[in-house]
Amino acid sequence: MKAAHRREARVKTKVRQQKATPGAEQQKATPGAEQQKATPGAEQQKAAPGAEQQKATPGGKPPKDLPFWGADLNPEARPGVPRESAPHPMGGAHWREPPRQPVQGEPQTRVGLSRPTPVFSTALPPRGLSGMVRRAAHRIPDHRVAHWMLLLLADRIDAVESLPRLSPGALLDMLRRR
Amino acid sequence: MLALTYHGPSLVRVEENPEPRIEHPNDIILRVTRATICGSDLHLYHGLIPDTRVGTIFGHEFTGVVEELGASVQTLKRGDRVVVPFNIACGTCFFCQRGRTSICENTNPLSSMVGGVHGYSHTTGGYQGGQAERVRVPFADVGPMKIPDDLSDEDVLFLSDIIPTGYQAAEQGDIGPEDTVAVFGSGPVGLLAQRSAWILGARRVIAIDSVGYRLDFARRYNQAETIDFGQVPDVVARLREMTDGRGPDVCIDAVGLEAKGSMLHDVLGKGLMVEAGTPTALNWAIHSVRRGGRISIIGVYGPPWNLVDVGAAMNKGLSIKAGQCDVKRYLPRLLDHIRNGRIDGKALITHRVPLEAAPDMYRIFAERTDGIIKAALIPPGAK
Repeated sequence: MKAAHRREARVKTKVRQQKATPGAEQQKATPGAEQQKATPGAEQQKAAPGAEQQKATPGGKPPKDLPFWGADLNPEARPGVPRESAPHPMGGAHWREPPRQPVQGEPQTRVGLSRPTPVFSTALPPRGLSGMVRRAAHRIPDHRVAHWMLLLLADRIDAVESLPRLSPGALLDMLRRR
Repeated sequence: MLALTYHGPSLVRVEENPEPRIEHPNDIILRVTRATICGSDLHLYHGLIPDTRVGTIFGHEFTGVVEELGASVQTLKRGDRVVVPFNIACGTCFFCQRGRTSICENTNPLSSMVGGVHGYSHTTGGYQGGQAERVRVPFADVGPMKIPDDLSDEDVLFLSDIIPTGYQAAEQGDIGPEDTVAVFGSGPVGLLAQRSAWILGARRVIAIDSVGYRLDFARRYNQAETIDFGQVPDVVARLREMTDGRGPDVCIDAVGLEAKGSMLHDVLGKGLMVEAGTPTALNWAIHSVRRGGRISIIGVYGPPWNLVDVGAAMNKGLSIKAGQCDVKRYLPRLLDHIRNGRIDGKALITHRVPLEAAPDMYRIFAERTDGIIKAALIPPGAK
């Protein structure tokens, strides 16, 4: 079933069919949601292009008639002030030190870390020639330019190395959509 | 499962990928219901972010339904609808404890600069992203927020990134009621930075871009004054003219490393790649802001360096704040703004397409055609 769905959905045409203008989107929203949300669409309709030129003129006053103006004027209402808050656990963290993800295979770490961070990705370990260049790059600290230049080189090698793994059809499809 | 997969600069494809699995006791597996393409995904798409490996699944803005839970997950259950911050954060390290979840030190073993991010290269940890049918979400008790029953996934989708990012961009400007704020870039983050500048009580908001339909959107959506930098000989001079010759009090760079407007930087940053993209918008911000003014950098820049006019910044006595957004701390307040209609992220969605059409959306988004502001990707089976 999935395969059928995928074939059907190879779809430049659907892009057009499903394209929605912002205005149309607002009309489609469920009535309940609209009632609770005080319709930003209405704000947009109120403001014809050019109206703002009158509202915000050099030397003028703040446009306090905008329904959203000044809601967080008071710095105490701003969630990122002060930028570094008094220390406290974020979200629902229920650990002092997070438990560690088991390490299987070749750990990928930067210079200065004796083991991976408590969580890490296992996707796409280094492989082939590009992998050798990546391993070399990660043996250089990331405050050194050589680290980044080697990684960019590895990225280009990786792209070339992966071409034979693609079917001609897949490659043509990507080039066509490029 | 199907996922949007990277194969090289400007080469992406929706294809079968391995299913994600629980790898840590606080992981969940999410069935994605909506994903979007971010402007910063274009930096990956164009091959500008180092350590972007072939096979990387992009996508750091998504909502979904919890399908599998790790053994230690306490705050979520199977079937919960959640929106997921793009940052992956442990919640208890030195930085998370201070609210700085974007620079968590427990989620990225590969770089000393930044924490983990979903679907944004191995420079941010190598986690696979959400432009897929399913995705692994680490530290599920810390990041994801349950979606309230009265709101749809699309109502809160942009809480994953661009709404808090736009808000933090404005907040970094320490905006007050006498301030004129210039926002470089009228893409999704720029538009939300403009809206947030009003919310923080700016006196004037000026949007700068060269894409006509985006400036139209800025006028319509945010009632901002606008400058099309393609139509004026000198954008810095134009901003000074508009502000009594001094310049704006606050300049926000919501463009980042693929800015247009300087042939020199286009050659050095995009052609020869001897600098990390183009710092044109940032240099314009530095030169146009008033002496003693404030610069907020929210546009993404990559390593290793850029030719930034730091001498001008120093001699003008500027304050500069920068950073990836610490999404988690902004969610309650911004959810309130969505509920009360002060921010409508959904209005930015101009295209809704099946996940399989994602490569076409990348091309359209990169070319700034078809009036695109934001594309929502709908995986197979999602309503």
